[in-house]
Amino acid sequence: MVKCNIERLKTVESDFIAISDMNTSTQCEQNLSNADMLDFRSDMDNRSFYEKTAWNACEDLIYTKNEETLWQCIVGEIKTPKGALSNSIGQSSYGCLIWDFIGENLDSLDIKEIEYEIIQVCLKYPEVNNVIGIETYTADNTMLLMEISIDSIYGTFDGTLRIPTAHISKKDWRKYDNRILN
Amino acid sequence: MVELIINDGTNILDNLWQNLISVGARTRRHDSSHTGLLFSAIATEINVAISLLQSYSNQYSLDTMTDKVLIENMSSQYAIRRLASKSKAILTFYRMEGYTEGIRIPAGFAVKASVPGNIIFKTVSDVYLNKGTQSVSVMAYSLNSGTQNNVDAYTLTICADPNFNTMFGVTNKEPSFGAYNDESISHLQERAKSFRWATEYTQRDIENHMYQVGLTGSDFMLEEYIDGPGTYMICVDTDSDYAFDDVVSRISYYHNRGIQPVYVRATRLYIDMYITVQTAHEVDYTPTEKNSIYNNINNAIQRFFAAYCAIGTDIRINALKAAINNALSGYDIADVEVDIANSVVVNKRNVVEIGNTTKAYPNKILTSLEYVGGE
Repeated sequence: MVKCNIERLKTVESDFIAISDMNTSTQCEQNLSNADMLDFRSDMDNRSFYEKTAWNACEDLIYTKNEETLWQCIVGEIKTPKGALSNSIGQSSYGCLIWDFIGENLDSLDIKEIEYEIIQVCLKYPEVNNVIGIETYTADNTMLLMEISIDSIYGTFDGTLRIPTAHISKKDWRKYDNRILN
Repeated sequence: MVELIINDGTNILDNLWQNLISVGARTRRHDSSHTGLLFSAIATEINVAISLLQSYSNQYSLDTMTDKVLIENMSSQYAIRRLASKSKAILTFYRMEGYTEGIRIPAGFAVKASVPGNIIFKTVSDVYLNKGTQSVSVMAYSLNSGTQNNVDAYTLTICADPNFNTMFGVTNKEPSFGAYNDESISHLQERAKSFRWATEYTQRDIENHMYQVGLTGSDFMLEEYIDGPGTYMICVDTDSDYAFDDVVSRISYYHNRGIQPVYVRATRLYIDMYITVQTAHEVDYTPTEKNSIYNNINNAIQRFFAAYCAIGTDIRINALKAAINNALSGYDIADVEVDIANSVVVNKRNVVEIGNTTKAYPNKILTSLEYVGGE
């Protein structure tokens, strides 16, 4: 049984941290009972601006589990150009090739290629059974929006991926209709 | 000393994951998760730090250092870097046919080699070709250093001053010799690494010092590299701590360059022995003869220990029996048995193993004679 940090702090004995100074009375709301694929998510991932280093129990640095972790992993890898982490140990093949298309005039073939690369990233994960749907939208001819449906060992789930920026903008997203972007 | 393990860092990453899983914070490893990326970055940085530490620590060992200045400094206590030296030659000046006057050839007279490279030798002293003398020889040094100045015989034949050509000629009957190039740093490093004080006559020096302070060969033992390169152990057997301090203070007066001594007082191992001698004379020996046998055995054992049992030397029981047998050669002896007291271990090869800082002494020697009859 995986414990949340707040649960762990209740029992830890430390010479460096005064446990009594920390508020561990809060009940942890995260249910980690059936956790298989565990990871963390920080405020940084929500705000996309900065990471708050001081953390309050379960608020700033929280556990993610199963499909949430899987989605986070896939999105993180798609957002990273392939080879960007080649200097990190064990991460030589991490990343996605869609970044090679930045600055290109995209045609329908390119869009299919981008979708293919994204599907390849998804299928790298053994937890993913299949990518059952991928839809591409465009806005201002400069941005792409993709919706992916994934069938995984944790069930089927959808997500929305904005490329290349993570800013939420009120664009007029239109479904890509096989025309040449110019 | 901390051992630095250098590899591609995957073991660090493995350990990080192993720790996280073992404390129950994750159920399994997932390299592409946020945790995985974070661990990957941490492992990479740790690996870089370890590599950096290793590269620094390499510079502190003569075996692995690569910095040329450090190599020269570190090597200096074992070997001095050899600089380029000049070549030496014996020049022979001989009188030209038909010229009969006396000639003075001044010191610094320049002779050029007939081989390419502008090789010039200069004589070291004035020499004279007196009337009636056909030739004269003089030592000369090359102007420049380096092995290219070691030229073959009969090549130093050109007088730099052509005015003398009608008066005498010059040559070298033997090759010139003794020139070296600057020793390369890598060669110096190899030479320093292969330094052994035993081959550099330092061991003999130390032994001489020991004799000079009044010790005999069995009173001390020297061991090289007791605490790394350049160190050696002097193990001295003395009767008391006071005597040991006295010996150390006297030996310390002598210094050997690049050598760090470690002084150790030998521990003494006292051995009790039971000697059983079976005599086989026609009749049993008289008490006087038996007394003589006892004394012979006692003396033989004392002599054996004094002669053979230096510090760190194992005691071979068979050799001791042979020594006793030899001492009793004037008597009819059927057999000699040597039993060592239980406090000392005798191994399967019938040898008492002595530690390298231990010296064995005979303690109680109990001898019994058994008459087993004659033929």
